[in-house]
Amino acid sequence: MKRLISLTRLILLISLFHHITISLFAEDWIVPPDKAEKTAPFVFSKESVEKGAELFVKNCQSCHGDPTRGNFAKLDPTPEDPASEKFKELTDGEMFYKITNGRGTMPQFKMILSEDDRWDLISYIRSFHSGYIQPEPELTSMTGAGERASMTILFDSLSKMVTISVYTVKNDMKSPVKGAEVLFFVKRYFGNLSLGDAVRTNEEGIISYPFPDGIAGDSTGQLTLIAQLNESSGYGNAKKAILVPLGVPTEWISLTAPRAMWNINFKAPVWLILSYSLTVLGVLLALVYIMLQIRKIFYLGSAVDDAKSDKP
Amino acid sequence: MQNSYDQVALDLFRPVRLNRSHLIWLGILTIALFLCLYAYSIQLREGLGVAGVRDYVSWGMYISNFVFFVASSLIGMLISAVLGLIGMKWIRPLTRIAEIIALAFAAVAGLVIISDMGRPERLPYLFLHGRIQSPILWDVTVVTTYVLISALLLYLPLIPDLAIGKKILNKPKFLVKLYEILSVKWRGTKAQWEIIHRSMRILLILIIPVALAIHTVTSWLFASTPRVGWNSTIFGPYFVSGAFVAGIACVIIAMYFFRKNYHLEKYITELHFNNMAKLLVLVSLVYLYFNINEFLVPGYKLEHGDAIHLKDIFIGHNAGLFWFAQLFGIIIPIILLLFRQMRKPFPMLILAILIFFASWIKRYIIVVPTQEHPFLPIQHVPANFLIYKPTLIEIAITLASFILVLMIITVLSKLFPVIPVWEMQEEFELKEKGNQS
Repeated sequence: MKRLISLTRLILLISLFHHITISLFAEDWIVPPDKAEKTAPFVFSKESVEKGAELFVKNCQSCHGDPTRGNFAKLDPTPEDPASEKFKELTDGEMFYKITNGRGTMPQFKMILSEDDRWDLISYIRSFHSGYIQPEPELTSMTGAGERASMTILFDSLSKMVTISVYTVKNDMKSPVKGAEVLFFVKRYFGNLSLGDAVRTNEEGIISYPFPDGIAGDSTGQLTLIAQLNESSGYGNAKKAILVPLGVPTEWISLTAPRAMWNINFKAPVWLILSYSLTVLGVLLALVYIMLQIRKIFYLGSAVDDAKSDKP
Repeated sequence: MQNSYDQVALDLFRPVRLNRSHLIWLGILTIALFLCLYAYSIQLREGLGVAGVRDYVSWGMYISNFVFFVASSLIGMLISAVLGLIGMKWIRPLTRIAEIIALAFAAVAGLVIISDMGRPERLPYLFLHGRIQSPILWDVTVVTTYVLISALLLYLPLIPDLAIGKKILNKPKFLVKLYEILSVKWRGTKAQWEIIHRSMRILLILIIPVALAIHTVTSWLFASTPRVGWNSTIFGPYFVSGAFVAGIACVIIAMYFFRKNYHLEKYITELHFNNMAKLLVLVSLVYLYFNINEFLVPGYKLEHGDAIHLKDIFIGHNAGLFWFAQLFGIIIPIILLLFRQMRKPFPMLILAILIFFASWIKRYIIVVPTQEHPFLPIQHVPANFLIYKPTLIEIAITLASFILVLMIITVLSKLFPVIPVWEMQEEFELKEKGNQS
């Protein structure tokens, strides 16, 4: 019985391993059907191609080379030329999935490029595929969703309130967007500080944002507040920043100002400078003393010689 | 009585001369050195790329060798200062041998570091732009100081010997002249003896903290980083205790050769080998203790990085070298030296040579394997960057450093008596006084 169990385990293990190797290293990179059907949320245009070209140089060119020239990097599996037939055969959704998730040496761009950026990239790649016809842009079920909304941000210095207004423009008509999610951040040295969960717009497409207490600002309390549409709510990713005096006035001491072990030579800790210099000085003085003693031996010897030569 | 007193000087000055076999030996060393310097000229022209060091393993053979050289140089402090100051009389004939070895290794250690520089002409930058917070600057300071003190410790007790030698030697002329100058008019007056004794005491006390510092700071070059295998609080004493093992091995090899070739059997006796063996067991036990701490504690916890590193050196591709170093460098000598027959000169020579090799390999194991597991994932580099393989050029340059050490030891041991003459005379005098009464 025991033997049977261990045999079953072994078979299971082998099949599992087989499965893993197949799914990891198989030539084909299979995209789930629902993802493969995904389409862009906007119509590819000259602008989107131009934007995509710029993104391609920064993010893709080092491995995929210049499209149509086949000068991609020699990696295994080969990155291939984006203008090639292999790329042309992919659906937009498949391409989006692969850029988003990556695999093996192909990096994941989920956190690096926004969804719009990724679609711009695809529109650039498609510009090399003759005979490509873009499928109808995908529209979500929400009213107005799929359109790229715009945003204004205002600060009223009397009431100390930040007001966000989200709207779409069609035929020069502004219509407010209800239920759009807006994320708030404060600009910091390294990246942005998130101020918590997204806030939804009301019926009029407006958010009266209660800025939280206790956020550090500059010496006068100024800080940069950033509001950004949450892309997943389907209205694009419009972003606005505003300088507001809502922070706690804070004196920022430069990280490199105080003396520290990791600072430059002239800002070394005093105890270190003292102990190093005094130790070196002490040892050197001792050595100089020894040298002088050797000189003294010489003089003493000379004195003996002189005494001898004085005596007849 | 007068006879045996003079006989000591005659015995000990007998090897101080230039003979043909000695010149041939020096000639061979010089030719070998030039071959190795040719390898260095290639490195100087082409850059460090001709060595096996790459982005990930950037400290290879050169730095391992540097650590070994600093380690070997520590023996001067142990023999002359520690044993001398606590009044071990038997050690006196070995002090100069230990000092010569210490000076040779310490002096060449500095050059070994320069061989690891792609742009050696930028060496002054270390002093011009060095940060006082950097252990590298401390290391340079302390190694230089140690070379100076070792040179003085070699020179001071030599002064009375030089005065004796000046009378005994009549050729070669340059040597007599050299003795004349270096003996700084030593006339053996009471005042002169007082100066020698006082200065020696100062130097012997001074060299203890400096020698401890030189190897502790060398260990900090590693221990002050968060790298697995280096990130250890006991690296200082671990290095120092290991240094004594390596240094004693060097002294035993030198003792054997000087005894045999210079016919010093009367002065370096089996008793000295026996005592050195016991000293070796003592320091090896201390070193073993630190080894157990160094490997058992992280091995018990097996934190992520430690697990990878320890697996690599225990059973991985560095296991052969690791176990060779541990077995032949520590464990086997401790066991074998428990037997009286193994504490005879020849078996000890064989053991010392094994320990010498094992100690070198131990330094390599400390320096290299951990770098083969970098913290950041390796991307877009050739696979051979990951595993370090020393190149022929690198090996030749490393050999050059050993040749230099041998040359320094050869020259010093030929120009000057390797056993302190006046100290031996003093001993004979005391012995005969004892016999008379």
